[in-house]
Formats: sequence, structure tokens, C-alpha cells
Amino acid sequence: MNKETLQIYRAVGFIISIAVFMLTAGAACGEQLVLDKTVLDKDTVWQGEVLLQGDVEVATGVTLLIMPGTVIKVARKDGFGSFKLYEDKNNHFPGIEIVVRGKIIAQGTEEQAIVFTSAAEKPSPGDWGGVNILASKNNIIEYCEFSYAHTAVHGHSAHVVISRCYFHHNGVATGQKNVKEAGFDCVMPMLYNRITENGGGILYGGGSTPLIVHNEISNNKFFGIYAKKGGLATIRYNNIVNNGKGVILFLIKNGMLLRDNNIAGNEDYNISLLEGQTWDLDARHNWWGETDDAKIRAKNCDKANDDTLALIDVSNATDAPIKGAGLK
Amino acid sequence: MKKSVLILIACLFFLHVQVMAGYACVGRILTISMTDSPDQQMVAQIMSVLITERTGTAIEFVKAADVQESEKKMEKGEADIFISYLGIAQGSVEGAESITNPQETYAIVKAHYLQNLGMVWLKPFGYSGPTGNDSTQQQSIAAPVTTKTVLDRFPVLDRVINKLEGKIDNAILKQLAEQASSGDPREVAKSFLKTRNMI
Repeated sequence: MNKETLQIYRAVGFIISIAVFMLTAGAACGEQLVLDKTVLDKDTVWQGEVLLQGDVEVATGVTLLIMPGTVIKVARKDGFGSFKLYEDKNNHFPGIEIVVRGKIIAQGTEEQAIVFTSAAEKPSPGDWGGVNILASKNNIIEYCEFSYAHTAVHGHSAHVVISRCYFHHNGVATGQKNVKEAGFDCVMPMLYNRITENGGGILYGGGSTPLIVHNEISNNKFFGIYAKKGGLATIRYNNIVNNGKGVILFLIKNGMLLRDNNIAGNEDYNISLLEGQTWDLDARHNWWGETDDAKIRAKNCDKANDDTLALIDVSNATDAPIKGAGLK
Repeated sequence: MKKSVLILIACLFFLHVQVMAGYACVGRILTISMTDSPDQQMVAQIMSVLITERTGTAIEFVKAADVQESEKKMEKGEADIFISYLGIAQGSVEGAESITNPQETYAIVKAHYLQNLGMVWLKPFGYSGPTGNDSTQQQSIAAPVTTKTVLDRFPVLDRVINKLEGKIDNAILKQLAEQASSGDPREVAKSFLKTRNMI
């Protein structure tokens, strides 16, 4: 069997598997699917337009497959009302959430993205909670657009690849941390995403160690990346520009691999160490928007600002923007 | 509720978005109780910006009719920090009414609140607030007050807030209040802290 034939067989196999899945799973098609508070207890397919009027949970062992081009609109509801499945504020957000304990496969395409947004006529950040993946493995979120959520994609010990997505006008684009009860750590790589005009970009904590590579993280009101008690993250080849603050660190003991990024033009600081950050940061070999060492250091908040803080090493800075960083 | 809290994240952050932090892993909310007086409005904003910028903690404000109500909110756990005045607080401390030395008053009031109410008087801002019946304005020092329980939850809070010690005297407060009356108090607060290299 030659290579071409093998590829054809694989493509046909994929199509058949999707068809079988749709035949055996509950599939929404045609008219708008309207869901009140509910638990999906069998494999489900969403396509077309879906309106959520209450929390939706994908139960353990169940897969929610969302087809390319699907538009999920979420009703705006405040706080923790009767539309919620859970009132636990440590693991859930106000507003309507999609809680994933089983599996979510949301793979759009470049031409047909999957859209998650507010159903409000005049939407605003925080209209809905977000996709909240709790102790779940083998999830995929690709070519999706998220807007007006509290935290658009959030994971507690979640295994989910987030790639080629567009996050805008959310409170925070993504958040993640490890939780002991899950028995495994969070694996939420962020690859080739456009994260812009949110309150905050990527938030990670609780010992999680995300791979954050080739993202465009710009014009977020407060921060581009917020490392909060997180583990050793890999942050490379990103454009982290024009945010309120580029990268914030709070109680990061193991540092981060922060190299080969364009970190420039952030309003307050390119990197800001918060109170209690007493572990030095290696931030060598990044582009800071200029080559003057004093100006580069002035755009960072570290020991030079406050004796109690650690140092940021910005040596070996590049003298031009990193080629290939961002969505290339 | 979400809209009422919004603060931050906007915070969030900071965020000028109306989303409530303090849920899931986004972070916790610290609640500042304040009255309608110009000094409380202004200084609460300064505290809010400083805490948010230096600790990443979201802030929510709750209104109180007066300092006594703020204190009650603290006792009930409805607020985490408020601004009080020695001239008012010393009236509730037996034997302190006749003391005229501000430092001595501060020490006695601080010890009383800690022992009897579990409240912690942090370092004074530097301006004088309203007085009680038997006090002079000179000794009615304004200071932030929190609790031991809150400090357990927010371990760097005292260190951050104490950086405001002596930074806001009467003249500065008047100037800030004037700026805030014709502008955005939060922006005034941010500018004040930024020019002093505190954020």
C-alpha cells in the first residue's frame, strides 16, 4: 500500500468514525437547539446553533463533539442562581458554564471556527462563565472563538490542547491549575492562539506547568500572562505586547523558561514581580522593543523598584524582534 | 451580584470588565468598607489600586454610613479592611479619652483592638480625620484597620498597606480629592502611586 492510498484510507476512516459517532450519539441539527440546565449522560453532537440557558455538564465517560461552524450562544445570567448545577465557588464561575468531566472535542477549521459567545444583545465580559474542564483527559479545543466569558477556558487538572483559537472580550482568556483530588496534573498547552482585548490573557497557578508557545497576546487590559504560584512553564516565541502588564509573577519559585519572545509596549511594565516574589527570574534573550539597557530595565518591576523583590535578568536581549514569534 | 463586585478584574482586573474575580482559580476578593466622606473615597481607591497591583487580589467595595458601621461589618466578616480614626476609636477605649499624645493614643487603641476585637491597626496614612467628642483633630490620625483572620488569608496585606505609612498628609489628601472631584478617582489613585514608584 503506497503512502497516498494510506492517506485516503485514513481520511475515509475518520469520516466513517464521525458518522458512526453521530448515529450513536444524540445529535443536534437543523433548528436551534435550546438547553436549560442539564447533564449530558450520553455521547452528544452539537452542530448548527445552540443556545444555553443553564449550566451544561458533560458527565464522566461521555463525549461532547462539536462540529465545525457550530455557534454556541450562552444566555447572560448573573451569579449562582437556579440555572447553576453547582454552587461551589472554588471550582465554578458565576454565570452559565459548560462543565466538562467527560470529554469535549471542539475542532473547528480555519474556514469554519466554532463560536462560543454571549447571547446578549449588548454583550459584555463575564456574561457567561466559560468552558470549565475538571479532572478530565483527552480534550481538544482547536479553531474556536471565545468571547464575553468570565474565564473562557478553565481547567483544574485538565488535559486539553488549546490551539488556533481566538479569545477576545473575556474577563480572562484561560486559567489553569493542578488540584490534588484529581490525581494528575494539568496539561493545557496553549499554541498559536490569538488572545486580545480581554481583561487578562493566560492565568496559570497551582503548580501547573503550561507550554505557552507561538501565541499573539496583545491589548489585554490587565495582563498578558499571570503566573501565580505556578510551576516551571515554557513561554517561547510569543508576542506579548501592548497589554496593561506583559507578564506578572506571584510566588513563582521555579522560575519559567521565558526566552525568544517579543515582550514590548506593555503599558505599565513588561514584567512585574508582585509582593512576595523573592525568587529571581531568568528572562534572557527576549526582544523588549528597544536596545537601551536602562530603558529595558525601567520597564520591569523588580528589586530596582522595591528592595524586597527579586531580580529580573534581562541580559543577552536581542537587538531586533524575534523572527517567527507569534502566530507564524 | 457579579456586576456589583466587578471591580477588578477588571481588574482585574484589574480589568475594567465587569467580571467577578474570586471564583475558581482566578483569585480571591478582598472587601474594603468605606463611608461617603471624600477622604475615605480617595484613600480606599489608593488602597484598592495598591493591593491589586502588588498582589493581584481583586477588590470589592462596600458602603457604610460611618466608621462604626464599617467596624461592625468587620466583626461580621462582611468587610476585610476599613479606614478608621484614632479620635473616634479612642472613645470606645476605657481610660483613653484623656490621653492627648497621638503616639500614645495610637499604641493604646491598637492594643485594645487587637486584644478585644482581634483587629489590627496598621500604620497611619499621615492625615488627620474627624474627631470624637473629646478629641482634637491633631490626634485623630487616620489608619487602615484589618483583622488577624484577614491577615492569615492575605499574608502580604499588611506589608503592602504599610507602604502607605506617612505618604498621605492633609495637603496631599486635599490635592488628591480635588483631582478626583473632576476626574476618575481610580486614575488619580493610580497616578499618585505611580509617581511615587509604588506600583
